[in-house]
Amino acid sequence: MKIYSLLKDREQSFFQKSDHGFDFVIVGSGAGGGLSAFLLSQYGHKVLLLEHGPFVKTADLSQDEAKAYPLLYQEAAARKTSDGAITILQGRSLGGSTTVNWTSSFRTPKTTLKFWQDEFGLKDLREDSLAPYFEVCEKLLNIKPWDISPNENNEVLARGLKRAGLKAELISRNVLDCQNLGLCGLGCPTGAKQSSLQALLRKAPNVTIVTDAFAHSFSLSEKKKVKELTLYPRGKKSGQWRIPIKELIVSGGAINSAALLLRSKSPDPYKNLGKRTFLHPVVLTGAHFKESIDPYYGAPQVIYSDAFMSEDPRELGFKIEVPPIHPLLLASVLPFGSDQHRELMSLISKTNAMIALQRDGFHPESQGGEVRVDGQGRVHLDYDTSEYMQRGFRKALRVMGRLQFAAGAKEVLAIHRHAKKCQNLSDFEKEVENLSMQAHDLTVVSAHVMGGCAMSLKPEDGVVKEDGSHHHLENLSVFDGSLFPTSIGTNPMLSVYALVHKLCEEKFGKG
Amino acid sequence: MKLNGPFNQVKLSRRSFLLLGGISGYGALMAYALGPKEEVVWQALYRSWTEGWTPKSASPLKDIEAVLEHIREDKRAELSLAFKLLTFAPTCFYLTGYFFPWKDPYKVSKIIQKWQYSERMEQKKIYAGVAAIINSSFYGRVESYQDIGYPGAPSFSLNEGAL
Ligand SMILES: Cc1cc2nc3c(=O)[nH]c(=O)nc-3n(C[C@H](O)[C@H](O)[C@H](O)COP(=O)(O)OP(=O)(O)OC[C@H]3O[C@@H](n4cnc5c(N)ncnc54)[C@H](O)[C@@H]3O)c2cc1C
Ligand code: SF4
Repeated sequence: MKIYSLLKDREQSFFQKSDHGFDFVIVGSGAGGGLSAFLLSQYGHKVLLLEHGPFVKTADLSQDEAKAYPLLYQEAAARKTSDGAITILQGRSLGGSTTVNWTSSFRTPKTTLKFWQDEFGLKDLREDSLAPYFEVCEKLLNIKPWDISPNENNEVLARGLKRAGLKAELISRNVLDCQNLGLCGLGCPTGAKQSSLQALLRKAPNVTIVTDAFAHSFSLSEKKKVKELTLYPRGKKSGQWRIPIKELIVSGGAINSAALLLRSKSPDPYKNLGKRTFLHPVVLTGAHFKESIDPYYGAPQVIYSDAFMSEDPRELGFKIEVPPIHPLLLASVLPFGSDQHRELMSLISKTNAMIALQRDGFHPESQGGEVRVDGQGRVHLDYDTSEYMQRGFRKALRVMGRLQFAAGAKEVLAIHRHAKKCQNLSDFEKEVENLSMQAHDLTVVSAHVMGGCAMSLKPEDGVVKEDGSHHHLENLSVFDGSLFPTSIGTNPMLSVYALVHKLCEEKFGKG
Repeated sequence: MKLNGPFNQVKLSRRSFLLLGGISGYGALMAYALGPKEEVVWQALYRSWTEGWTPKSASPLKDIEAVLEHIREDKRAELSLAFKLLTFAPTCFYLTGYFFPWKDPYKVSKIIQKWQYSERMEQKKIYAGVAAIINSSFYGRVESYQDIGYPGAPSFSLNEGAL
């Protein structure tokens, strides 16, 4: 594996050559792009992998949030929906979001796959047909149930669930020799996290990587094929680099992949491109305890509950987990002013937070958002939370407050502009009943961006075919989380890996 | 609405305000320098937000500029527009209820409170943007850890073979 930076190595002879004869060019190095590069190099192809963000060596990762976010996240972790209401966390460095994610690993729920079969006719995406790919990916990424005691932040969730008569389920994680630090969101400083970089790219010798390279757009030949890809060094408007394309794989992740296709004016006769972009919108509650929680230490997510995920995905459903809490992350989700904000920050060591991630894309009133690009090629996501979704937010806040009080919380607070701390459950329930669930009032965040280049049987219904290839362009495939026709209904990383493995093997594998 | 006076080029449209939403969060590109009038407003808001905690060593403007440097260009332009409005008396009155309150800490804290609870979209959005920038510039500093009781990152060793 050879790594160049378009920003720093632009003068090197590599960039002066007009054609390197790459069989495949892949845009994006996250779950989808990293695995595609690994597999294609194993099949003996010559692969070029392009990544917008930098390559940061494990030893150079910073545990300082102010340095980590601008380096490792899209828009320095300040990406938002176009109305500013929902904060979107997405990775942008070699390894993509798998470099900064929290390592929770789940297979795609069977209810989701069933819905895809029934509603979208995606008959090939069944539990049994995907099972072998899940197995291989779980091996490649060392995914195993976490067998170390949960940190106190997760323990609160476990206790709350138990006392409410519900089962606390254990999360599997993609780690090897994990030191249980809790710094996953800042990039794992030990190399324990099996990101696409550590688990796959490191072991893919036939791959040439160019980082700090933003794929702006591609041109098309008359034969409806992608001809050439144009890139810019990260953050620059000059220094353009063009690369001829035999086969292009777009793996920029949701929002970004759709944006590349939109900037390139790729054929979209049915106006599906960028539509049905999903977020798993997350709402939060905070609780204070007498004893220390130290929510910044220890594996971030190891306990979860699907007790509020109904079997029928058309009904409201949310998954409950806890997030890691670090100072800047906490400060940025608290919508309160000066005094109140400082008081809550000073309680960080005694704070537990719970998150409820709502599945979107199944109910008629939850059809996701739409990606747009403006005249300058900048990307925007319009995403409205409907009344249906707001009902889900309210229900989730109530449930999380109940679990926190059951676990022994002194006080609980909905993370909402107008919320006050409540010392008992009945006050909390009354308060939640009266709060507006409008975005901007309620803090809503997302770390799970999906869809926008949906798979479909017919061109009328989506952007790519069931095998990931574009409905109208012969040599373009989309292999990432933007393929999903709905949200997944659980943390999506492993679903991206398994689906991409299946598509890549079936389309480009030998035999 | 079109304004008279020194900022008569500034169109105070609902759209400009709505666009402000995009700035909230911690957000990547060119070096950024604040103008003198903007500095006064930022300084006042920062001091009020971190009152009692502002470390002696703090250089709020430098920290705020460092955060602004990382914000997407279009969103930074929107924020800059908002701050122009906050430094021009009539529009400042429209947004804060005062003509030039930035030298009076009491009024500044009232403004923050008013923005937090406001139902007016433009105030909600300026509030969200200001909060995000100040939080990032303050809580991104190791110096703030002591005030909030965060002990800092745990120690660790590099695993063998990590890239
Ligand atoms: C903070 C955080 C925590 C998370 N925690 C979990 C978790 O615990 N469990 C879980 O299952 N999921 C988690 N996720 C989500 C999960 O990591 C993603 O769903 C998954 O990585 C998506 O894979 P992808 O290939 O679609 O995109 P990504 O992994 O996001 O990779 C896309 C890459 O493409 C690059 N790119 C985009 N556009 C371009 C372009 N035009 N030119 C060049 N490069 C480009 C991007 O910079 C990025 O590096 C988390 C995500 C975040 C941000
Ligand atoms: S818990 Fe620590 S060692 Fe384990 S993966 Fe996360 S950051 Fe790395």
